[in-house]
Amino acid sequence: MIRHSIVDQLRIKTVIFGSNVIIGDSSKIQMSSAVLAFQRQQELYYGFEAPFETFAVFRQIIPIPPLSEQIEIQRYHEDPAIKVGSIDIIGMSTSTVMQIGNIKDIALESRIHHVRQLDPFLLKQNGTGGPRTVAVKQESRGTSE
Amino acid sequence: MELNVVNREIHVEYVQIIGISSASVFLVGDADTIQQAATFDTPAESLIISPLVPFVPRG
Repeated sequence: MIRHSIVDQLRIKTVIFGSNVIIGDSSKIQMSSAVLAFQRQQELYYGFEAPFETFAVFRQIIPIPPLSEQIEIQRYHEDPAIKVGSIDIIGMSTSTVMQIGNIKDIALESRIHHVRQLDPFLLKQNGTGGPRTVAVKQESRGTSE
Repeated sequence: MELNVVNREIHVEYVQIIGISSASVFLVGDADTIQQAATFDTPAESLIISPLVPFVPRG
């Protein structure tokens, strides 16, 4: 016996960088994202620098417990529906999921390395203004079935 | 392990979300397993005050 999900209205403005909106059931979702965010004071993006392996955060092993334990779950759906009137989302980004429906297994992973690079010459010149984000390199991989 | 769950009525009128980001999930429904991991690294050496040179030389 499964439980139904009933949503009257769903409104999403932006879905970017390997994100998913799923209406219906799915069995397995596995997504990962690796982000290198460079904040520079000047509009400068070389495009060839910094492969992901250079940074520890992308090599680091994240221990995730295996799904080996057998759990006996008895579910009784007294009300066989989840009801939602209206959902309003402004943005979804970087390997995220919004689903109306049931899912068996879901596994998500995100790794971000953030660097700010300031120019001492520019700092002296206009120390008042903060740095602007000028380049973000991102690679997203995702599968869903 | 044995788990007994009774799902009674859920009725939500309105959900307002500004942003879902970095390996997050918003689910209206049931799930068996959810596994999530996120790392955000901005170490001390990530604030670099130097001329704007590339991080690795081209080669």
